[in-house]
Amino acid sequence: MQKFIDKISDKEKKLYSVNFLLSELHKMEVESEDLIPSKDLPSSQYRTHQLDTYTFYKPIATNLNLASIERLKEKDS
Amino acid sequence: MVLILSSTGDLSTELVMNWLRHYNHPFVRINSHDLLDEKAFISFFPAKIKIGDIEINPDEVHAIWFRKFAFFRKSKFFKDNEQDIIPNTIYQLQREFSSLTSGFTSIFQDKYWLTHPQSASVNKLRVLKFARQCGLQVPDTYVLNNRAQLQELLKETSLISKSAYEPFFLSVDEGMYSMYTKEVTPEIAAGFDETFYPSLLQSKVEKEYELRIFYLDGEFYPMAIFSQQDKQTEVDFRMYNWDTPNRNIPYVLPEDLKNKLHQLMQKLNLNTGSMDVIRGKDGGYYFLEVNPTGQFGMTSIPCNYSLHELVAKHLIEKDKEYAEVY
Repeated sequence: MQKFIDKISDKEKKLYSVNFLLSELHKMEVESEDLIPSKDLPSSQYRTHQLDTYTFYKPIATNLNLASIERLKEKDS
Repeated sequence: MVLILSSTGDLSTELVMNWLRHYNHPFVRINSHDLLDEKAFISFFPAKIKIGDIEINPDEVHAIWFRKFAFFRKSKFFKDNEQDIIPNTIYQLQREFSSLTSGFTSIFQDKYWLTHPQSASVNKLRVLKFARQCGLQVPDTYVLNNRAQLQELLKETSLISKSAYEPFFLSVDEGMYSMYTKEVTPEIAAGFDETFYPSLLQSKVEKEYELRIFYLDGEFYPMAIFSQQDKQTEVDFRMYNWDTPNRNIPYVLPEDLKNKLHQLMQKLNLNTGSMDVIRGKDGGYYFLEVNPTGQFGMTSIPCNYSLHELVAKHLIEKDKEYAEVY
């Protein structure tokens, strides 16, 4: 499984914490309860898509995308 | 009336609501996103709330369940407008939203709270410190930013790396980089630069099994997870093996451990939460962390604890109690 540390250049390695460096590439999987694909109609009131019990698991939290990292960079102005 | 402060798509919220309906107890739910996605009018003096078509009289609310009342980036507002909002303003909008939702909860400050908003955000390192003070065993914990000291430490102990804040997913075209608890071996450490960003590391505890414990007002609902028997889940059970899931069973906690965990929850001002504990091969119980608004469906279903019903009954009881007393 590809690690984040293998994707970045040597120069960039010092910019990240160990848990960042060791994060691994997974195929797109279920990331939170509301994204679980379901044929059921969503609840009209609360937009929940799935109520089956097997979907319970401990999710790991925040979804970060590259764009958001870009935004956090300080800019000279 | 019970007030539920939650977010769209939270299954636990919906299942608790089903039980409130079953017991025919009045309740109302506000999702944090409603403040962005619905017409919202909130008056603080006098206290009055109208979200969409729902009007709420705060005087009629006596118990509040604070679930996951946040997540600006998951709102329809953000999803619809992400491309149009000037990028540099997003962080400020997010903080403004967070401040508004947090201020909103102050309308109900004299009510019963199942998870008080001020206690809902915990710092992992501070919690570990408190846990030690309560007599709980915790793994040795370090923050390091350089390879030399990491390699020195690895001569004495095996180490794992985890996030100090929350784990994350990093979206890229090929998929997601996912951050789980990982072992840091000397070979891996050798590949790091001389310095790196400050990182949380802990001594690796040789596990017999893991415990996921739901806590509700002094009662414990523990589940043992036999994650150790599967290579994929042995360091972090969240690396789920969906084909051959870990065996999960109800568990009986020793009284001494319960007393210490209870003390910790009181110290943290938490009346509910989900705790992660490791049973070491040395026979010790190692406290890892507590999540005040964590998942409890994953504990309830395999162990048949019916936790959603218990949460609903607890809210009903407190709602009636506070209506009488206050």
